[in-house]
Amino acid sequence: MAKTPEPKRTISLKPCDGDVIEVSPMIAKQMQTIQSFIEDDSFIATTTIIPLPNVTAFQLSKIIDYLNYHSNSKAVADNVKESTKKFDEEFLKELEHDKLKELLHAANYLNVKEVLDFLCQAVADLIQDKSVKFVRKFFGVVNDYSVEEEEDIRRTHAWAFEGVEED
Amino acid sequence: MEDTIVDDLFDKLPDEILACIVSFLPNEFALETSLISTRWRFLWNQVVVRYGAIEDVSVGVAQFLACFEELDPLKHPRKLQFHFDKSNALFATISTNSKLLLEFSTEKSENERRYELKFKLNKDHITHQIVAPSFLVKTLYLKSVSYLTSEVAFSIVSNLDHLQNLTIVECSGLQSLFIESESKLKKLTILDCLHLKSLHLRTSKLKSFRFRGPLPRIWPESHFNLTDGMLDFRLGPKCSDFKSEDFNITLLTIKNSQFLTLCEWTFEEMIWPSISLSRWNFIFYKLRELWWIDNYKDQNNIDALVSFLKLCPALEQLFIQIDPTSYSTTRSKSCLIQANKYTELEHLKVIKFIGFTSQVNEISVAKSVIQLVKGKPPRIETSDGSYLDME
Repeated sequence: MAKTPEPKRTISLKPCDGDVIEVSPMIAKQMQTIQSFIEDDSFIATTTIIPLPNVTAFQLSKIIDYLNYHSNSKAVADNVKESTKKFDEEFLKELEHDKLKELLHAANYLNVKEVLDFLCQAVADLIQDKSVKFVRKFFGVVNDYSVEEEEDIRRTHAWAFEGVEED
Repeated sequence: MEDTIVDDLFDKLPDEILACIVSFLPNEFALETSLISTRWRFLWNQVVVRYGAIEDVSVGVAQFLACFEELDPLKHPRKLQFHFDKSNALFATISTNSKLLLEFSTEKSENERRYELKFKLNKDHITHQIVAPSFLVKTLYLKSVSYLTSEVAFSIVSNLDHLQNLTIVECSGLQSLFIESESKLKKLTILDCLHLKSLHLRTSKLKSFRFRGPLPRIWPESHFNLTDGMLDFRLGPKCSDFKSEDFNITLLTIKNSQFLTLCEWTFEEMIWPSISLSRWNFIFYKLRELWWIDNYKDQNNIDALVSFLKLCPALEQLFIQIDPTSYSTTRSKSCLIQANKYTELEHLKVIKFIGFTSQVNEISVAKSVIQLVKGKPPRIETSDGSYLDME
């Protein structure tokens, strides 16, 4: 069968605050939101630019970086574990708390599971062992429990917190 | 400005994402997140809901335990809801430190029917395990077992070979309880099982025994020395024909305890008649903390407490709780007012009053206790949280 000329290989994504970013179909596929765009009949890879009004260029490139690194490192042997860990650490180091939260939101919008899981783990690591007050502040949550309700929950959970010093 | 935007964004995240974050937390902290706000209340936990017959419950629990992986709680939920026989259910929850909570919910009409439970734990030869669990239960909280569910409770508990700590709460109808665990069980707590008449313990490693409810007939078959004993029998004896001789073996188990909760009447009726015969050879040498529950019916009369304190030379902290509803003995107290030689309280540092309604009473009790103290007077904390200065 005669080879038809290769169609344009990349997907064009337009973040809300920057120029179009081209990604490979393999990366785009991992973003569920983009994937459903691509599957739409009106989508023409060569001309369509997918607008992402809820995602900044910074966030988009972070997510693409992550996916790129991890899809490449998967292909190689498993002795890359160390360097993957290093990459993940570096990746988070560049993110302040607010940036991390925004990125989580962007990942949620794009519905990219791998990044979501990674960021959820990162947030969990951040709030672990912190007080409930800290976590409320971190998430910007207002405590809407009455004193009695809060007391009630503490009472019902008391069994789980007993004897923690043991073992 | 950016702050508000970020917070707003976070508010918009769907529950699944928040639940995903929570799932990465260790169990105990995950539970704590339920306190953040009403939205977070149930995020920490996915519940497996299953339906079946009562015969399937113990297998269901065994499978639930077998599936749970402590290191990867995201994979499997920490909570099981097993509905059986129309309106009955069992709630199982796993928590950190190898803890399992089993709470039954059955129709009210079943609650009064009497039953007995026999737990033989830590038996090496138990082979009827359905699924080898990857999660080893060391602490079990068993709540609201009834006649109907006693078989289920029996078959679940019999499979928990590594149990070190057992708590039995609000099992109404439970009349007779036998526990055998010669190697592992260290802590036993029984709270508010109001129908319990007979408690038979073959538990030679037991260190902590905490009981709240009417005093049943207790038979510690194998001897054990408790470090921590809570004998909160303020509801009185379960049967009116108890004699102090019946309490003698139990008395031996608390003799070397360091922490003790005791009611005035128990001392007067169950302990004093026996030890007054032994001419003061019976001393609680190791007791450091005493929680004394007194009905304080005859005001200004705390002779029972004073008599007991004379047996506790090492006491460091004394808590005196007045509960006017607690049982009081009908016997004469005159036998307590004997002059006896005793060692003074040299180590007493703190006296704390709980439940007193008048400071006059607190001062009166404090005076009686301080007479026994040698050296520096203890710090005295009143029921309203202030301090008494007796000097």
